[in-house]
Amino acid sequence: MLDSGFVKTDSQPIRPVDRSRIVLADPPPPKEEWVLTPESFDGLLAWLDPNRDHAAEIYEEIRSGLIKRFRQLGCQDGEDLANETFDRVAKKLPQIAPVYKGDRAPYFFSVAYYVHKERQRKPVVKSLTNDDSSSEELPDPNPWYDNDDDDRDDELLDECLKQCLERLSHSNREMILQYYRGERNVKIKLRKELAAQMGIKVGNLRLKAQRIRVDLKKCILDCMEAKAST
Amino acid sequence: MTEHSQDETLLRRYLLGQLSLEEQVQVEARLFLQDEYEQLAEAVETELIDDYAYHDLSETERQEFNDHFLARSDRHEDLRIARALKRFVNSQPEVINPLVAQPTDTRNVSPFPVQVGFWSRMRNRSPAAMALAAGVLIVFFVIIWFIFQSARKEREVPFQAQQPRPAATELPSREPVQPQDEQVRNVDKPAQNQGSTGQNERYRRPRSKRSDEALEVSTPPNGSGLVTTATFIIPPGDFVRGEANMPVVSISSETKAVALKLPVPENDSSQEYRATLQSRSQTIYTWSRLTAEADEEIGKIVLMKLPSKLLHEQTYIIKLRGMGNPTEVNYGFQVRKR
Repeated sequence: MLDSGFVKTDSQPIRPVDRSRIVLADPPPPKEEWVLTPESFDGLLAWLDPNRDHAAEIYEEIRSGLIKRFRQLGCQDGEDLANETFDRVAKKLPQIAPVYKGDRAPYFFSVAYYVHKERQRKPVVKSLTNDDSSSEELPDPNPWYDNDDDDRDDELLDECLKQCLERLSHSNREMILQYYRGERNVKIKLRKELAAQMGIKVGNLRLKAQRIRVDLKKCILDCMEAKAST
Repeated sequence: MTEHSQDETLLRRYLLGQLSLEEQVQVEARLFLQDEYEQLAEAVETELIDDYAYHDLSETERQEFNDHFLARSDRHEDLRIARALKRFVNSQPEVINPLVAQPTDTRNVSPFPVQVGFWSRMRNRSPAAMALAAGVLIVFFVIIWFIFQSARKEREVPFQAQQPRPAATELPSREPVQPQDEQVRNVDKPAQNQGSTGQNERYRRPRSKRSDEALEVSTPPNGSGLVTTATFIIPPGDFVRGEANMPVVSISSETKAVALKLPVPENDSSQEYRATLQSRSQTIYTWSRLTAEADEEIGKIVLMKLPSKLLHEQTYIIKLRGMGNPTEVNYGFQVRKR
């Protein structure tokens, strides 16, 4: 059975008690934010399966899977993000349907991947509110890399990198410097040697280096932001 | 090709925009659903950026990188960080990996990290400068040798090996001033006290067959400081229930270096070992390629050396693992400074 919150026949928007979905029977003018209409929702169900009841089952299955995964990823508003995912698919459906030949369910998870990434990138300003403006794009919190003044930025970046490397533990700092030493075959050979010295596989060495790189990047971005604000 | 490398190849093609819509959807669905797959993707992404920064991509890949990969603005910052890292690494002198630093002389410990840019710098010097430097070095070492020899003759202090390690069950107390309670024994005490009673009793080990020898010192009397390495035997055990039975490493102000003997099972066939010194779960230093050696009193040991200034009054744990051996052995101890 389809989520009752999704389909509404009168023109007055009603927010379901579980906040699962609002469908406007009278959609706003085109210049307004895109919202799911009964027609686009029907189109979405038809794309899932020609049999509407079966499509509704698939829809619910995908929705519950999305909510569960969003919550696993630490998103308290998993239902809102699942709805956002369906909205995006429904919006793109006219372009997707003619060209996409694969299984339908992965497509929703694929879109959910981007929804989650965007959530990670921008701060939550109005979580769990009824104000749809929370989905508006926010300015990039780290715009330093778009600055054209490359030389000055490079100096700043080098300075921050140096500071952040010094903050690493001695062994991590030495490891990361060894890891990035050399080029092409020399680099590969050095990495194999480093992994052998540390008693780990090259793959694990790479993951370890990756973790250090993630920490390093965070430190550098914080440093750049702090320096840019002073 | 392994499953793992197939995944990597697919992710690399995905990041360069080489996949069909259906393949792309499959990859992104997995990225959303599988944490490990996303971690792998992050590593592949970082490698791709590094390959671009190091000019390791083909011309086609480079073009795809510019057109597709860099379309996402947040990747520009990753690329700039990769380039900055490359600049930094290239600006650094060549450093021998201190993870493999392996001291061999108990009387001298190299400070960390081991910087060895000297010979590479010397290669660019003229022969005359090299000869002059060699001459100065020879004279310097001869002078040091004469000073050492004359001091040794004057004092006639024997340097003796430390005694066998008491078993953990024999050494219940952590108090460093009571010899029968020590699990680790300090060997840098003045020789003038040996064999007497009272204060010097702390260096005795009553159950030892060679108790007199066991309590000998390895530094001259009056703290002349010629020998500044203290050797300790640390029995296995991580002492998770507290510090009560934890061996004490007692360091005097004259001690410049500390040598730690870690007994390993005789049947351990590992050729090399890796050791990590930790305190409060923080890794302080890591040694790799340590080799086991035979100690005539204890048996098979791994010897680690470190500057005493690296150690503070707190508890430490050394995690030792033989290469190819999954079992990690812990050696806990606490440091007291005198």
